[in-house]
Amino acid sequence: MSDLNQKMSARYQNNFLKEIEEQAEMGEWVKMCMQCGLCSGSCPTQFQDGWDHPPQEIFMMIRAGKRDEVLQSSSMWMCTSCYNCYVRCPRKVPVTHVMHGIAEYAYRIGQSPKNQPTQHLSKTFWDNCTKSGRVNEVKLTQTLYFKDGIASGIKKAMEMQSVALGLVKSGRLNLLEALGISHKCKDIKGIHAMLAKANELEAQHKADKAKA
Amino acid sequence: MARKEYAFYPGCSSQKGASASNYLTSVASMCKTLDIKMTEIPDWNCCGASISYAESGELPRIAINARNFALAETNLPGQDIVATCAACWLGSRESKERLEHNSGLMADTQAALKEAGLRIKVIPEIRHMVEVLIEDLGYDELKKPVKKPLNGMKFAGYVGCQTNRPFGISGESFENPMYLDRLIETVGGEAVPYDQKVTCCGGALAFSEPERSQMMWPRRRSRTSSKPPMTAAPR
Repeated sequence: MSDLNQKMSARYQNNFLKEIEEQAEMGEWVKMCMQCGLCSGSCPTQFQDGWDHPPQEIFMMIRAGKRDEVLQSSSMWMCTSCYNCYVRCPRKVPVTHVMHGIAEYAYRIGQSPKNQPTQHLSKTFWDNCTKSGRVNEVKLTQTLYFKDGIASGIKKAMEMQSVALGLVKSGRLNLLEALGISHKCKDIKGIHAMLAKANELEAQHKADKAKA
Repeated sequence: MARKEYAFYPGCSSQKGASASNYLTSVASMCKTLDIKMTEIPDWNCCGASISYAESGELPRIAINARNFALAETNLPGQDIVATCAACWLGSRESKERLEHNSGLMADTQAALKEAGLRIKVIPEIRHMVEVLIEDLGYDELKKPVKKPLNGMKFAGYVGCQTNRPFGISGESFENPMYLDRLIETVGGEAVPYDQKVTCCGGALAFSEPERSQMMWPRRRSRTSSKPPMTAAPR
C-alpha cells in the first residue's frame, strides 16, 4: 500500500490538485470551488466540531499542495452524506462525492488514519453485502462490535441486550443470521464475476491515468 | 389488474425478519388498500448504501445498482422501480443519472454486467414510495381510504436528508419541503411547523461514530414544540 503511495507521490510531484483530479472520484471538481464557505456553513457534523478541516478548507489545502495533511486527515470521514453542501454549492460542486472520493483515495493508497471507524464500517459493510448480494445484519453488527477485540465486543453486545431482545420479539432480528443463514441472492456467482470485472476496469483506468 | 403496478426494490433492511421488516408490513398493507401491485425485482441485490464508498470505489458501486436496473427491465418491463428505503432510492437514482450522462461509465458497466449475463437497454425510472403516493395517486386520492382520521394529533414532520436531497420529492424546496406536512393533514393530523425538519440525524455515522451521531439529536429535539417527530426514511 505504501508502495502505491510512493508511486503516486512521485508521479504527481508537486501537483496534488492533479493527483486528486485524476485519482479521486469527482476530483476534477475541486478546481471549481470559489471558496464561498457555504459548504462548511451547511455541514451538520461541522457544527459538532467534527472536522479538523471543513470542506472549503480541504479544497484550498489541495490546491496549496498540502498532500499529507489532506490524505491523513480524518475530516473527510466525518461526512454523513446529508447532501446539504451539495444542493447549496453555487458552483454545483458535488461536495459529498468529492469528500468521499478523497477519503477513498487516501484509503486506497494507505494514507488514511489507521483506526478510522467509518472507514472500517465502509469496508465491513461492502464486504458483507457483496458476499451474498444482501446485507447480513447480524454478522455486520457482530463484526462492528468485535472490531476492538473480544472483551470490548462482549461488553457492547451486553449493553445492547434489551434492544436485541426487543428486535427478536418483534420479528426484526433473525439470530440465525449469525450462523450465515440469511437472505441471499441466487446468482452470487454472477455478482462476484461482475464485481471482479468492475474492479479490474476501475484499477486499469486509474493506472492508465497515473502513467506519465 | 391493479390500479398501479411497480417493480419493488425493498432493500436489505426491509426484508422479512430484518430490522425494518415492520416497514415492509406497513407498505404491504398500504398498497393493498390503495390497490397498488408491488412485485419484487427477482434476485435484487444491495445498493451499497451511502457508506460503501471507501471500499467499493466508483464502478463496482454503480455496477451493483445497474444489476438491479437490468433485472427490473428484463423481468418487469415497463414498470418503474419503486424503493421504500431512502438510501436505496438515492443510490439507485444517482447511479442512473451517472450512467445516463457518462457513456464511458455506461460502457464499463455493461462490460461488468455481461459477466453476470445481464445488459441494460433503458434504465427504468427510479421512484421513492412517497413520490408514487403524491405524484401517481395524489393527496385527494390518499384521503379517500382514511377510516379513522388522526383528529387532534399533532406531528412535527421530519423529512431529513436523503428523501429530500439531492433529488427532492416532486420538485419541492430542499430547505422547506411541505409534502410530509400535507400527508399528515391528509390523514387528519395537524402538522406543526418544525425548523429542524431537514437537519441531518447523523444516522450514517450511528454505527461508526455513535457519540458524534447522537450529538446531532439534542439540537433537533429541543426545537420542536414538544410534539413527536414523524419520519419517512428507514435508516
